[in-house]
Amino acid sequence: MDILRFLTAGSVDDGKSTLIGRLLYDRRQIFSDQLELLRRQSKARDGSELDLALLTDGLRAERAQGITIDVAYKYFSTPKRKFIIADAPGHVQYTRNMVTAASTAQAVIFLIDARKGVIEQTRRHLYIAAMMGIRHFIFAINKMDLVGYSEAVYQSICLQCRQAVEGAQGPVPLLIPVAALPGDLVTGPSANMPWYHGPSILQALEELPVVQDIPPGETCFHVQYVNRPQSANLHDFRGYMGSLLSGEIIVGQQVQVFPSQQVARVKSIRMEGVARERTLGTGIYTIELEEELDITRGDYLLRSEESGEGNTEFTAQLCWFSEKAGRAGMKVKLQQNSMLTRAVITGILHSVNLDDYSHNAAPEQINLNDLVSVRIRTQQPMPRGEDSNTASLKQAILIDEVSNQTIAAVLID
Amino acid sequence: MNHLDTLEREAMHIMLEVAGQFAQPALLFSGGKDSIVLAHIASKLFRPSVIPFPLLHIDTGHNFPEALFFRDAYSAGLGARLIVRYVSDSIEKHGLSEPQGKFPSRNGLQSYTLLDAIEEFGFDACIGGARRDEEKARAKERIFSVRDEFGTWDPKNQRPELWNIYNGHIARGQNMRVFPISNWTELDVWHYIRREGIELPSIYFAHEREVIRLGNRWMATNRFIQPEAGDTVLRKKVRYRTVGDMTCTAAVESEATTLDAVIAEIQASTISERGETRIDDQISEAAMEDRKKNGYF
Ligand SMILES: Nc1nc2c(ncn2[C@@H]2O[C@H](COP(=O)(O)OP(=O)(O)O)[C@@H](O)[C@H]2O)c(=O)[nH]1
Repeated sequence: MDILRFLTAGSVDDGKSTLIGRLLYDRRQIFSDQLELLRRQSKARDGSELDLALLTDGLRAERAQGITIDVAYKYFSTPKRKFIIADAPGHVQYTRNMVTAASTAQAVIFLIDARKGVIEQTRRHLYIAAMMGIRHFIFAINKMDLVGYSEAVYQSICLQCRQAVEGAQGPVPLLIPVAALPGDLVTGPSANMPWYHGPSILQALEELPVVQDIPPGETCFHVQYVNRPQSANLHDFRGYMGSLLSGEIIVGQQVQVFPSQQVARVKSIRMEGVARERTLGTGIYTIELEEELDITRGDYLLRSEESGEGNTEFTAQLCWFSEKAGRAGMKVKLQQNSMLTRAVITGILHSVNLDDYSHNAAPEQINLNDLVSVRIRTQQPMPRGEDSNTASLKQAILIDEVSNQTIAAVLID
Repeated sequence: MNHLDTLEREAMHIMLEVAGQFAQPALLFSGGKDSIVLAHIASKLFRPSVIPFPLLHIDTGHNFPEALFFRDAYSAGLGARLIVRYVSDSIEKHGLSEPQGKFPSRNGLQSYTLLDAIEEFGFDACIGGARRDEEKARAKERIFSVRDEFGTWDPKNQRPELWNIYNGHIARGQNMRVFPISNWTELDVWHYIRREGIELPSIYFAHEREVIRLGNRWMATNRFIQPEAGDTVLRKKVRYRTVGDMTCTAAVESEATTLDAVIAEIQASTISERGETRIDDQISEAAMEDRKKNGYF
């Protein structure tokens, strides 16, 4: 059993909550006391028997407003897989929520109302999902019951979906006709759509391939914590604890510390206290070096021949999370993995218009939920991520120096 | 990769970020299964050294003796430093009033003691074992969750969490609550306990107790809960599915004396963990959310 993380995207009332509720309900992942509560809430709200959509509504403020405004996580499993659903609906905060949810997702389900087909919102969601590098796109063409379970409707929406995905440069999508409310093709087959021979939503989710192993290539280890117990039995122990992001490390090999460019030899490698000759795939290791160097949290250990001076200037795409507008010249903190550096936004190149993917050249400022391309200069050099397989070298966040808020997601070009 | 490996690694990454980003972290340890799993993961992670931060228990005075016994033995076994602070001291210090009634829960008072301990030791981060599957209000909790100096949580002002980058920046007086097993379900916890061979307090397994009926649940009698006229007092074989206070945790009728049997019973259960065991969550639908806002862990 492995784990698949996915998110759902759709505009209000396309049936996202109903679909998630249906997945959990059919998989019997709702307990009887929770069901009882749902029944009571459904009755109190609109007199309905059982509104599965209420299941994903978390907080009181949202319940009062009748909308969801943040990312909520839900869990269910089948004998094959454990699933983590990031549910990110909402109006104003939508881009921010979706970017957040997408950052940890391997797949996305786009909800389409079969009566409406692909709409403007869908294009926005597609752009974000593609930008965030999600590998698997699934379309749930929902409310098929309201179009008479018509194959012709399904086919014409499929065409729209394929074109829209192409426009957003996303991966080849899976297109599944469903009716979330009555439950057609959510977790099982549908007698109403004998013309469809593909998988149900659940089957598709169970069968998506997920890549979990370490990207091959250059050694890249980031130091998260320097462990110096200074206890009697470990008096001189100095273990660099962190995650191996790509490649491998072997005892005796040379590594170069980034950014200081000092060179050292690997003395020992431990995982959970067990010594080993070489690293085995991704994971958290404790590394000792022969030489005593000044290495701190945020440094990287790289294969010596390959590390360079790094970059202090680069362009990146930002998604802006803050109500406080961003401007050229703004000073921020930038965090990439565990590395923290001061940085300045030196220029705003363009913003992306999510409706037609066109660019607005050189906007004055960056507003909440804007996607923009910017130029950034950092105080400390960053490892070059351009031709690396290490996805996390391209990912960072911006932190406001005063409020400490996370104000932007950064995708380094 | 196996789902338990993925979850364990995520928890380890989060704990390493806490160790790296904070000067004075603490791990909240009660002797309940979720906090035992946290302590187990931390001890594995930092080997060959001991966990580089203390374990902190807020003792309500209503804890099960079995859990306290386990707490002491387990933390000693890990070689970790255990700090215990008492709700009774906070009651005295702040002139708080003792909860009354048949089930006098001190749950609401824990936050005072926690805040006092945070101040006393200067803790800047507290690692806790809360899970998002426990309750709807928890489903939106961040892994790194900022609390102000009153311990309050503002659900509207949470930081977006991207990839596996955790923003641990806080201002003076603020405090971070960190939940490394957010993405675990109850069954994940049990399966992990089985896989790792983790020991648990004896009350997680079926044993005989004197109980009184409370709706469709069983409350053990003890020095805080005395039967009243009209109560049926019975001896039953029960176990605990969660270990909270004696005053607000219900027992489950059970024959399960082994871990496999316990897991089988939980797998077959149609009632949620909290629904079956916590009598203090039932008061209102938004009970948990309100208590969280007020600094309940
Ligand atoms: N007829 C029909 N109605 C549906 C279907 N799926 C959802 N709905 C209804 O559409 C409305 C909006 O659904 P909801 O799940 O709340 O949408 P969300 O805003 O995307 O979460 C509700 O009244 C649902 O009952 C479906 O497959 N068929």
